[in-house]
Amino acid sequence: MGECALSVKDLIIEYDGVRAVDRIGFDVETGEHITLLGPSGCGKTSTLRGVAGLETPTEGTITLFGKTVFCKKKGINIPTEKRELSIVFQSYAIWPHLTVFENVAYPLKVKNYSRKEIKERVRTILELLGLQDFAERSATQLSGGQQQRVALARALVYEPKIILFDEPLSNLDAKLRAKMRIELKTLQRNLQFTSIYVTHDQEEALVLSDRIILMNNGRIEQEGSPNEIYTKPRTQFAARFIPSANLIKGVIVESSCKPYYELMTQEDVSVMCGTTAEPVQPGQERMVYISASYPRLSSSAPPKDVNVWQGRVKMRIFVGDYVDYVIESGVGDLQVRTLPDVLHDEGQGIFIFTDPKYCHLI
Amino acid sequence: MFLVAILTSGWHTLVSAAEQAVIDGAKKEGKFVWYTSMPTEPAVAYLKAFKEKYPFLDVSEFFRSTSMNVWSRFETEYKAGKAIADVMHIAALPPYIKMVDDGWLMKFDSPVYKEYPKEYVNPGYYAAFRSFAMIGGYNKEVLSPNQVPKTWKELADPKWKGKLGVEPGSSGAQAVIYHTLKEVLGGQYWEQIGRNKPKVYTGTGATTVALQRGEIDLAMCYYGYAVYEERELKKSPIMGIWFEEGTPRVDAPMGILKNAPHPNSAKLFLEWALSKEGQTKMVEIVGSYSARPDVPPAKNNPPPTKFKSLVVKDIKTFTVFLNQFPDIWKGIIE
Amino acid sequence: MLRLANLFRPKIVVLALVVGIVITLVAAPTFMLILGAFTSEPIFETDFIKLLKGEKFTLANFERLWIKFDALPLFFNSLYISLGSTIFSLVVGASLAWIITRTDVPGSRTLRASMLIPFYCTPIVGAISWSMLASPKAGLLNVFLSPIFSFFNIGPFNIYTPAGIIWVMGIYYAPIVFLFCAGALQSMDPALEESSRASGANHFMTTMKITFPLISPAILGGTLLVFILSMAAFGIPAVLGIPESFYVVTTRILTLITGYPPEHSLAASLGLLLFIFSAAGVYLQKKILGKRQFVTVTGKGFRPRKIKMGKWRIPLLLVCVLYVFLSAILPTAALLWTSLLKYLVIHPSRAQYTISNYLYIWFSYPNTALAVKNSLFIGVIGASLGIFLNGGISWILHRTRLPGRSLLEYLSMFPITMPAIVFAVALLWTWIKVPYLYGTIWLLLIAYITVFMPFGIRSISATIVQIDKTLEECAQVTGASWFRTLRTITFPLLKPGIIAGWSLLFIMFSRELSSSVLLCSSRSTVMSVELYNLYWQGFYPVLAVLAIVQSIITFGILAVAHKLGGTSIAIT
Repeated sequence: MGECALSVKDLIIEYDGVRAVDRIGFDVETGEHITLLGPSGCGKTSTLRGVAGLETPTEGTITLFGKTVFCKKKGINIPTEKRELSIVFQSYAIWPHLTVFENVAYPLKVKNYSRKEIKERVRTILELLGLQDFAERSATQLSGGQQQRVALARALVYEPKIILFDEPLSNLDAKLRAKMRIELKTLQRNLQFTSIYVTHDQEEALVLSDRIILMNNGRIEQEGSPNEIYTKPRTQFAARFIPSANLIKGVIVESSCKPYYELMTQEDVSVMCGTTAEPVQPGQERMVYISASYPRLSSSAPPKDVNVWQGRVKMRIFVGDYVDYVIESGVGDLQVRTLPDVLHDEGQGIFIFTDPKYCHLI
Repeated sequence: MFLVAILTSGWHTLVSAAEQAVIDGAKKEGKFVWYTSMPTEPAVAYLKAFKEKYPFLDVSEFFRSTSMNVWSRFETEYKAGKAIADVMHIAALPPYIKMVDDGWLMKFDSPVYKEYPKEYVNPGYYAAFRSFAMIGGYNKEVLSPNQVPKTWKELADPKWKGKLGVEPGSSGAQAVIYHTLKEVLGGQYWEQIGRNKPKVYTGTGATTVALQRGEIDLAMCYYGYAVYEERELKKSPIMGIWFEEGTPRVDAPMGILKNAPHPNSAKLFLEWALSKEGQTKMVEIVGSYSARPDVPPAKNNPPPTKFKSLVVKDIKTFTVFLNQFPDIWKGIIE
Repeated sequence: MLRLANLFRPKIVVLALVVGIVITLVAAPTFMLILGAFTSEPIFETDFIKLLKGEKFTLANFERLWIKFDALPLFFNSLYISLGSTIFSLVVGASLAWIITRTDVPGSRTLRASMLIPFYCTPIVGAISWSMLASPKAGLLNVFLSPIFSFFNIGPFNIYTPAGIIWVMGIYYAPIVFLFCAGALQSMDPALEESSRASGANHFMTTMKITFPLISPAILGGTLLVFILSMAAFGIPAVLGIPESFYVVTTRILTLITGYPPEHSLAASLGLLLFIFSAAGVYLQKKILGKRQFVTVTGKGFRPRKIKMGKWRIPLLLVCVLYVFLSAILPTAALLWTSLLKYLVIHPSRAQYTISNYLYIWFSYPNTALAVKNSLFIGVIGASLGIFLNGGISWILHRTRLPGRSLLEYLSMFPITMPAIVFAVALLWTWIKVPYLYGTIWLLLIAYITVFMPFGIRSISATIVQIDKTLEECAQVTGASWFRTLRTITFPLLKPGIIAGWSLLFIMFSRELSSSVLLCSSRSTVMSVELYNLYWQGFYPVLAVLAIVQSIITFGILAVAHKLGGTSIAIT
């Protein structure tokens, strides 16, 4: 889309001899919203803090909007306060000795805006986030969700070009989290900024990103759009990271139904797969990834010739908006998620079938 | 006659050019520092009297501790090249003899030295500023008149067990008492005293407190001046005994230090302190005996004619003895 | 060019400055002490170059200590009173902590505040007050209780004994154990006890088997600290021990230096031995505590429910009040009585009263003004300088990742292993030849700031650690410079902690005696040294007045500090 907002090359960050970030590189375009996703300890927060300048990388280069802010070789290390970005912290970092207004106004004061301008801008952003009634309150008197919004207001008030989010929603309860996700998404649509989001929550990543960077043990496992990550994970780790993923082990055999690939399980059940992360040869051991949302259930045999497996409902979990089933079948225990319109009882015999295009080899 | 007139008419009538130079010098120095073992309250009062004579001097800085502590601090400072003290007065003679030998005292040929009997001075270097009569002290609320002992000898009686007070082995005065009484009463005397398990108090003040509180019945290393202070000034029940066998005498010299930071003020102080006026004042304030024959003793203390002074005869051997005394004393007391 | 600019970043400059200061303050004297211990002449008299080359090395001092000066009995004495006072303060401090924080004893707020009163008082004043109360013949307690003594045929109290020393030290150190335990008890997760109760254990069993074991790190921490402080204690053993020729290591060191002839080298050797002993103790403390870190503190801030004691409420209250009576009320009353006496007496009925002592102190005694001025100066300026330095150190330790941090931490906590008087000996030597420093209050300032560094640092660190560092990082991100962040964010948040740390330092500076006694000169005298000197001269009434004056001034300053934004003093 244009200018490169952030460019990271060969980044290594070490603490006390341990490599938290082990030589990664990625680019973010202006206006993009990307997420660094991964379990605790994968290096995502360290990367974020490295970009912000709160950690000093051991090696690598970081460029923000064309300006090199860090380069180990050239000895460049622009301090945080000069990098012109903004962060929303997990702890919100609301200053307890200042009011809401003063908290949000702080960056403007630092940048020497006039009093009048400060007042205007702060009022505008507070209104945008529904905080106008709290302006004079001490910041500590607010609830978690309100504090989070103050943090957000403070991050937005000086219209930064790039905002970093360090797990901002993880301290909120589930309902509030869901709500805030939508609000953030709306802000992304309405305001112009580039963002880098860090989280371990897969749903959040899928909701809020244009592109996901999946990290593990300091390295990048996979990069791609939410759809790509969701439908075509490249590794077991990536697949395991997706909510409700099914993984079936087997061996590649000569495909009996081109152009699909065929995987034979231990119980000699065949799975036809539409896509593969890497080229495969017969005889290789592989796994098939099937998201739980795609397989269908039927009490009677469906009119399909491939990927139909017979099984028994092992467990049924009614979650309100949907129903999760665990089905014992020839390809192992499969998790299937369906709408709650038809309910199958536990112990019931059942057929599972799925289109090969939803079966992805990794 | 003219000379007599000058000598007797006080400093403010005819002041010689030399004296004026000293005064001018002192005015420039503006300060005087005294290292002394005289108790604090009297020391303060004495300095105040001195300041009344020479109001331009700041006398607020002085160091007061036990004789040994003062000497020790001075020596440490001197050896490290620090010059703080102008004049030092402690109740021990041997350090002064040593200082003359080592050249640590300033030679000051003042006429005032001539006014002292020669056993009390080393002309130009130091003179006895105070003279102590070492007596027995007691609390009249503890000992009734017929219980009060009259001789040193009777203190060896076992009935005084646990009731006697002495000073520690570091005390020069205690060493003098030991030395002189040993000559008069024989060697076993002190062993007998030791068997009476006397209590040890460091300094006059501690001894006085012990007497006041009844912790001991009789202090064996007590001072005429302390009795004066308690009996006359504070009107407390502490009294003194000038024992029949004699009263050991300790001279507490005073001299100007070689590297005194305010040499002129020091001269003014020394001359005044050793003059009749200064000595009279000293007796009035602190109650020690003056070495000057023309100065009477403290009120209600017996004059030297009325008791027998026991003096250390051979200073040289005594100085050697002084170094061994702490160990000797330790053997007796413990 | 860019490299050089990096080098002069404020952070690096501050680190270099701080490390430099700490090394000068701590390492230099220690080095001199070690040198001096192995030399037989005072090292400020010998050729320093020869010294460094090792030509004057000798073990003669230690030999002399062993043979002539009975080093072993000295250590035994020190150990004896330290163990005694430690056990005493442990029992008193821990029990009172439990009573006041965990039971529903009435007036717990007031009791809690009263428990800390002894902490604000100068130890030697406490010892002197107790000598007025319990001297064998004329002590007030002995006089009033004599009918009871004769009835039971027991002897009167004698405070001039090791037991007396233990008694006074125990009373004055109990608040330390109290603070450690009360702090731990108050932040305990109530669920830990509740689950014990749910399993069927009653209150007593729960307390014995769950509560106390859980706070054992705090108990141990407090106890070990008291032990270390007791070994280094000077004032109380001096006042109560020397009159009966009961010497401990610290008092012997003093007499070695101030006696004649001055035995500087022996003092250094003895000091070195004591130092090694203390260091072992501190090391032990770290080892024991390091292994047992129980997480009892939750962030939720629940207060454990108080145990209802029913009919035991009043007896428990009396126990607490008894401590306050013995530690604060009784000694103060004795002191006040003494200040009005003309001279000491055998029996209170013989006392003659006067207020001239008060007049004397204010109008005649020249050292009053000087001592007050110096004490205030050192207290206020010293505490402020100390807080700057300690704040800087804390900040480097907790807020930066600069290399050499652990060395800095070790160096700055080092002074706690060296007893103050030993440190004073070392300082005396290090600085005696430096012009303008010996005999001035600046030397005292250096001594105080160094000796109490660990306390200031602990106090500030406790606060810094509680401040989430993202609060500062956020300011940085918005563009605030390092200095601006410090000014607008860090300092305001730290203010209560800084005031508390300052107050702590002020109190400790005001009470300090052991190093002052060696380093003070006539011009740099401070109140505690004046008190000490007056004691040795037996001027009890005047001394009592000065002590009262000192307390009033100390409390006054603390009240002002509290007003300026402090809260209660956090020590742990």
